[in-house]
Parts: sequence; C-alpha cells; structure tokens
Amino acid sequence: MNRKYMASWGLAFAEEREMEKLGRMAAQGWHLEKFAPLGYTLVEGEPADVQYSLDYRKRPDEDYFELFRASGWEHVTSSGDEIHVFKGSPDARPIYSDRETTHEKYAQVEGQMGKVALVLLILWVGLFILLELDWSGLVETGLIMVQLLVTIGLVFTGLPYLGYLVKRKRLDRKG
Amino acid sequence: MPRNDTIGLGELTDSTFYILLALTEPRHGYLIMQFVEELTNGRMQIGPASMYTIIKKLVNASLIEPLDGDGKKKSYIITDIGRALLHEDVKRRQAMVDDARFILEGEGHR
Repeated sequence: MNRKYMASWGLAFAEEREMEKLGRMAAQGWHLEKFAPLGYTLVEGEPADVQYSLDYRKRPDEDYFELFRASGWEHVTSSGDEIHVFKGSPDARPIYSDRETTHEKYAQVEGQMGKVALVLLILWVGLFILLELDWSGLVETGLIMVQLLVTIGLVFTGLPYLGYLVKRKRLDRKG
Repeated sequence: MPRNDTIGLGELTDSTFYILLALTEPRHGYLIMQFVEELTNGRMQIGPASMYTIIKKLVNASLIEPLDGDGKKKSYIITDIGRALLHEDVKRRQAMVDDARFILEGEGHR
C-alpha cells in the first residue's frame, strides 16, 4: 500500500487548518493512518467524504471512545495516549458543542505546555549563567551541548504554549 | 485557569443544565445525548468531547455519581447536591424569562 508523509506546522498553530487538509486529502484517496514525527502518515485508499477532529485527553477510558463511536466519530489514531484523532461523516455533529468545554480543551494543554516550558526556561537561564564562569574546554563543550538541547526543547514547548495561549484568548474574546 | 469553573459559582452552563436534567434518571453518556436532543427537538446537540468533559466535571463536583454497572458504558445519576443546584438554576432562568416577559409584553401595551 502506498503511503505518504504530510508535514505539520504544529497543532498549537494549525490544528483546524490541518484537520481540514486531512479531509481534502481523504477526498483524493489519501487517508490519515497515524502520527509521524512532525507530521502525519497517510495511506492510499478509496476517496471518501469525511471530516477529521482532534481532541486532547490523557489516558481516556473505554467510555470515551464509545461516546465518539455512538455519535458517528470513528477513532483513527492517537499519540501518546493523549492526542486523539477521529473521523466522521461531513454531517457528524461537532465534537465540542459549546464554548466552555472548547475553552477547557485548550486551557488544559496550554497549562501542561506552559509548565514544561517554564522548567526548561529556568534550566536555560541557569546554564547561561554557568557558562559565564571559567571552565576547562571539555566541560564547556559539554555545557554548550546541554544548552543546545535545552534550547531546542524550549522552542518546541514555548512556541506551542504561546500558540495555545493566543488561541484560548481569541476563543474567550469571541464570547 | 479555573476561570470557567462555573459549577463552583452555582451557575450552570446550558449543556450542564440539560445533562443534569437527563440524569434525574440513570443514563449513560450516549443516552444523555439522545435524551437532550429529543427533549429540545434537536435544538441542543451535545458533542462527544463536550459530553465527556462535562461528565468528568460533574462527577468531580459530586453533582452526579456513577452507578455500579458492568464496567463498560457507565451510567450516572444526579446527586442531592446536583438536584439542589439544578432547582436553583431553574429559578435563576425562570427569573430571567420573567424579566424578559415583563419588558417585552409591556412594550405592546404602551
């Protein structure tokens, strides 16, 4: 079976756009199979008229998936038992039907991302100060390597955090 | 971020209001959805993610409780606290409707 990779700009920034794109891909016969590093894996099949929706939920129970199934949403794939994608017919009801629970969806991931980003930020500042001191060449190289890793981690949590923050603020404003 | 924790304030959102109404009798998640949809003639359709979020929240606030069942498809029933809160919210909503009637029906007589 043919597969293809679809890149993601990050769920914090492009969730709606990418879910819509997945729907357009399915109409062309390319169906979401699973998450891939920084993107999605699509598998070739019959073109289908479907829509995709994504939810964040840590370790949900069987009732969670049953609720989706019963309301016409088929579970496609999950990432880390926390991010779940569902597929429904174009007339399936939206998985979030009110503002309050939609707000909670983003507030929860925002808080999680924010916590990790904060820890990494403190670590980054700590390393920055450490590097100001005099070290032997070997130790300094080691510290620079660690700082590089922390910087990458900070980018991949800090930016999504800001993305979710902006999204939630926008939702709140819409009222 | 507990800004939207309206349950704590004793004011129910529309979805929460209808879910509590549905749970005056034991029902599981999907039956709640169907009940609400039929009761409101399709005006109120609760999505599965919203439903799951609200059920968890109501259980945590002790407004509903799970019934012992055969594991899958857990059913829930409203608690005394939940019922009291529901009655209070009905009064609040009734007062709003009364206010609106007073103004709008008064208009015609002017």
